[in-house]
Amino acid sequence: MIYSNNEKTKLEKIDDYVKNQLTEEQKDELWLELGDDPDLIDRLELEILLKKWAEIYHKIQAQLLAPLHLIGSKPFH
Amino acid sequence: MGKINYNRYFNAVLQDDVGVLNELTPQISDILYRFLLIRYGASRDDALDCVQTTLLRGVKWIKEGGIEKPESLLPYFFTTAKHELFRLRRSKHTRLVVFVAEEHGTEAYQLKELMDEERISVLTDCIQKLTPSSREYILYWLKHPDYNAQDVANHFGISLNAAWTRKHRILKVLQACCEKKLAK
Repeated sequence: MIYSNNEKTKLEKIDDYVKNQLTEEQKDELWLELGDDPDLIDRLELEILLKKWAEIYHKIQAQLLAPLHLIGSKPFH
Repeated sequence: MGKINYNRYFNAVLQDDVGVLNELTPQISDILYRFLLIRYGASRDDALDCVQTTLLRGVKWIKEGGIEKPESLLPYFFTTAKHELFRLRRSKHTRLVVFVAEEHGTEAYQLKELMDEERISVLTDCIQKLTPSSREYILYWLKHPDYNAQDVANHFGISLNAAWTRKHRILKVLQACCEKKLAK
């Protein structure tokens, strides 16, 4: 077992936090749960960075694919 | 790093135990600093200021008997740090609007941007270093931010528990890789 059930619940909450699915009150509660554990705050930071990374990655992908999409959708004359 | 024992800190303040205070103060400062950055989007300079003030107030308040139980210490620190940040922001806000433009031109702000860029670049390297199956797994998770763990589990034909465990393992690898590269 890599982590306890309690920690797993915290990891799930971190996932919800990053996806912005927690209320302000729930975010405060989660911070109180994370406040004694630097490793879990590292985890939260990494997940936030990954989200940012994914946004950039998908934006670049969309930009690269956009011209192809336009060519594909151009009507033939 | 292990967990931070706020009870120990609380008692160390009361007993003026310099050894324990020197050990725990940087760890608690780091937690409060990251709390302000992540939770409230504080600038690094503002966060540093607020953490220092919060800790000084906390020590004074413990000694004066304002905090009776060690369990109340962390909520006190978070609340005080938040109020300090809001107070600092209000005081800055009352200055000229020009300040906003100046703030974004400060060295601290530029440094923050550079650090974020560096971290993103390091993360890209680390994602590329993952095994193909791990990379496919984490990219799928990232590509579908609206999916929950059960959706991911269904896609890969694994149990919900296995989906969490796999994500946890991969993020551990990424974490270690990023730390190693950023420490260089």
